[in-house]
Amino acid sequence: MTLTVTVYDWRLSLCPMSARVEAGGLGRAGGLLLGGAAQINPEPGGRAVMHMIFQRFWTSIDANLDVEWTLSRIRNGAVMRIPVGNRSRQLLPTALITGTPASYTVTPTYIPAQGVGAPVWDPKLAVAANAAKGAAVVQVGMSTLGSVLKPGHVVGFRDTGLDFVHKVMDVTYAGATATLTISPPLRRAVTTSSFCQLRPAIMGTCLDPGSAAGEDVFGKAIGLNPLVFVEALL
Amino acid sequence: MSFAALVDDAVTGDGDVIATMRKCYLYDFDGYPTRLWDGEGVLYAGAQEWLGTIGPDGVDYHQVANVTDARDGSNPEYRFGLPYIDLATYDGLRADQALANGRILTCWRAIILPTEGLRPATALTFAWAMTMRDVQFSRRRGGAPGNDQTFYSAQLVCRSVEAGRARVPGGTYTDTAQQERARILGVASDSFCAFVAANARRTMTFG
Repeated sequence: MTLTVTVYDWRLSLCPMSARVEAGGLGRAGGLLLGGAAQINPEPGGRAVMHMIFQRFWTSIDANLDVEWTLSRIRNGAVMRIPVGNRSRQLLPTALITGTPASYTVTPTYIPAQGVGAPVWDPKLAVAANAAKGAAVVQVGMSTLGSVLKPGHVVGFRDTGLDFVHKVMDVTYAGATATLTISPPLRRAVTTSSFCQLRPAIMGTCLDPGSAAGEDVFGKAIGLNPLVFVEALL
Repeated sequence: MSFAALVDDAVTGDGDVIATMRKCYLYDFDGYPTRLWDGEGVLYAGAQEWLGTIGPDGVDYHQVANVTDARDGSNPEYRFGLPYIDLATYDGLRADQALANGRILTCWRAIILPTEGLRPATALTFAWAMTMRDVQFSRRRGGAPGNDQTFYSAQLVCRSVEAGRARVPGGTYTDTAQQERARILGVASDSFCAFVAANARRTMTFG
């Protein structure tokens, strides 16, 4: 039985005030130290988690309709593709992205459904070495940017229309090549013709869609409560 | 390298756990080997892909029996289950339940070091194996009034290889009987039960 999952695109009008990506994973009981002391057994993989905080409500009618659509859409485990906001402190700052990577622009797949259509700035770094699915270490070429990528930054990979977001847990530099230890591990294999997105998107399901509706202002305007999206494994 | 030595290598002197141990389960259904592990995402170990059974809410949806040491002679029934399956899967499993009978369920342990992600380089270590004896299905209504749902679940009943040890064997251990059994089975044995008679009413001390 094959289950084909539809990925819905997050309405760009519902830009969060804060979008914070974490590497997931739940330690489970059952770890033992050599001395015999019980310890938590860490999760080797985990899923990326994005916490979003929104403004109290939107004033435009279109944005309010987008909220209403989103409130119904995120139910039943529907998978949403949500760009990590350009302003997020977790992304490599725009001012540091100069030269070749910065000139890379594409039109994202989620634009036409919303009638927006403008190309979105999509800086990328070339992957420097092949890495298999499930690997936690990936090498990227920093080009002329220098050693700017640091632990805590969020990067992503895109494969056949699917977006994956990863937290940089550790970085070492050798010349213009950065070796990143990422969490969660790679969901798809990358090759030297792949790119590492500096403005990634997460594909996830809402953890608590039932309480997503925020303040309803006189039936005219509505907001969204803070939302948590957990990476969908596609 | 032994399992203990692998653990020893993975644990540093100051007591930090830097290795993770997880279990991999192979349900060797006839023609449909199913590989699961108790984690999130796809694990690549032992040249196979294992599907993680932990959902986005952190719940492990794979019901695993607490397997105990069988050397004390006890032989409990172990139940392994997948609760909360959909109707199509439930019907499919019911139609194909014959594929489970007599098949083997094997569990391995995987050691995963932090830099390995979901691709542990160390070999899987065998933990235990069971024989699938029965498949049980349940369908129940639950939930709050007005919001009730039907829950479908499937359970496998497994026994270890110790099953049936307490039964009287269907034969006697005499040399003649053993030679006859070997002849029927077409097995060329070595000394059959030539020494059994000599061991009767004899006190043997070990240790």
